[in-house]
Amino acid sequence: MSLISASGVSKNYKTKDYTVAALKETSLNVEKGEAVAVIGPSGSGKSTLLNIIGLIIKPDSGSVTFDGESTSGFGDKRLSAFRNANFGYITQDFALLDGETVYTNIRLPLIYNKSIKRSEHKKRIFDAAERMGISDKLTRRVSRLSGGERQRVAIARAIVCDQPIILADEPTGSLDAENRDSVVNTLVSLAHDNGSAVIIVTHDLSVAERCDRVIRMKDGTTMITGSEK
Amino acid sequence: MKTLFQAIRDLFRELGFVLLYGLLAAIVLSSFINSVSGIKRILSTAKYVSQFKNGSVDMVILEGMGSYKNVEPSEREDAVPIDAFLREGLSKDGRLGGSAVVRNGGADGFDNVIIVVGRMVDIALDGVPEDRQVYAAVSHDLSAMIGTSAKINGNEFPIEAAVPKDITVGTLYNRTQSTDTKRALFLFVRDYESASAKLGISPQQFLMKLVVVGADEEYKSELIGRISGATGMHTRIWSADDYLQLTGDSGTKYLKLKLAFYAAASFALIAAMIMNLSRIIDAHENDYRVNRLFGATKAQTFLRMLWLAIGFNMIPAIYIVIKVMLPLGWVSRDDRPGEFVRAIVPYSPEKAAVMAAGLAVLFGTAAAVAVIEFLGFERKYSKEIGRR
Repeated sequence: MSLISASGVSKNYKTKDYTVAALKETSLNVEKGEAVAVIGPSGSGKSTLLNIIGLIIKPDSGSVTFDGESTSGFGDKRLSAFRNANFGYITQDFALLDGETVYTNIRLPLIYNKSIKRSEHKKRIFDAAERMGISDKLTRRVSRLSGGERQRVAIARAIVCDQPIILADEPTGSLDAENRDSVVNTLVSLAHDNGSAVIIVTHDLSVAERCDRVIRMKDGTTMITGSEK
Repeated sequence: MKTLFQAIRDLFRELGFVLLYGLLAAIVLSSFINSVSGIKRILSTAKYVSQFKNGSVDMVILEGMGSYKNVEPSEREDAVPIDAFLREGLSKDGRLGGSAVVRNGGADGFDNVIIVVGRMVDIALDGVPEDRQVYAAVSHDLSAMIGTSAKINGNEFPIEAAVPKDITVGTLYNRTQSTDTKRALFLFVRDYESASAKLGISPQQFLMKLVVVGADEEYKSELIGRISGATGMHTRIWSADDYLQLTGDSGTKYLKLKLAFYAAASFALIAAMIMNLSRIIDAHENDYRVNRLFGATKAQTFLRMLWLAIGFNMIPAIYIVIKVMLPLGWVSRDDRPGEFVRAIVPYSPEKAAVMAAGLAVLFGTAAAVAVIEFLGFERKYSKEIGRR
């Protein structure tokens, strides 16, 4: 059974004058320990697919299941708790709290997580920071860090609750080549060494080819699935 | 609690604006509340003006230095003396009315005895019985004395009522100060002639607050001549229209201007609050987005915005609550009449209502801003919360 599965999902964005079909009955299954890249031109529906899988937006039709459990009937409270416990989000703009320290940023998912005791927070934050090589920067404000360091903070935050699914939307879009390789290595190792399911939306083929599987999207549908290696 | 602490942190990041707005709001609200009494004065003046106009009441105005002398001008030897003229005018069928404040020094619990005579009785108070020679009432603050009696000039008067708090016993240009109408005994006398012995007050004492009702020009001329002759003071008679035309009713105009200013300032304050709150919430939008992404529910996000909006108004709210709990004002000293001390003076129901309304408007507007901002936030990020 797939860890996360989107089946036949469609999403339309309606404006006053017209409707844009962002996704057309698209399906995607991702297993534990698998790193999957989603590539395609702008407007092909990559981010919409990622947001639907990440339970951020609801599809107009189709369903998303997690470990066989359908999420379609979840209310906002349950969805929020589910997102918190199971998903780590990494975005191109890092989505960090700019005025806060590295420590506070990594702690963010923990303050909404009811199953992790408060006494464990410090250790988890330190462990996640150490894995990302930023444990010496915990008291620094994230606004004073480089792009690569900021993305490592975002990744530390995405794994601090042991979230089994990492969703990365253009995670290397703002990074130089060196930092890009480092971030991709980290994400792939999270899949292979931790058993996480990692989905990376990217334009960058060099990032995609490091993943176990590549999904190519065009006009709201998955065109090719399989390894591009 | 989590969202409350987050909102407090958000507020501390905006401390400069919070303090600036808070102090301005406290000043404007406080001034607005304090000027509410002006509304009553404006209304009371308007009522007085219409009462004077409808009843053809004219005011007798004495100007300059002079002394009262009960003698006749040499050219008017055929006329009755001024005292007799005033007595007749203040009698039951006369055309004059007046009031006088006699200092009582706190004796029997009254700082002042206010005597209202002749045609002034019906201008000052509705419902004074026609058949009563002397109708005694106490000021609003002494209403507990109703049913007892008061002894003045050796005569005992049963206290039958308490006058309204905002009673005015004067003319448009010469109104009794509010302090005079506190801790006071009011004696209403339609027929001065019949009660003058009981009152022990000469008619000259009504000259400073004298009105003439329904008089023709001949009577007015005679009145001016007699008073001028007897007092040596320049005497004029003004109708309510003359008064408005000549004075421009500057006191009421000033109050109206003051109220308009505070009303405009209050609107500006609300506008500033709306704009500032929107700006602050927008500035924290990224925080809300990231928190939503990592587990904050819609309710938590809304509460965080709401706490922020409410917290933004805490300084004026605390200021008003302190003012309600500790309403300091100036009151006259019991032991030394005429001197004033700072003391706790409970707010009038009108001021308390304005305070409550002010707070309701502030918090209501703040809550509305939070609701609108939250709906905008959800609309914006329900599509792609993961992206800016």
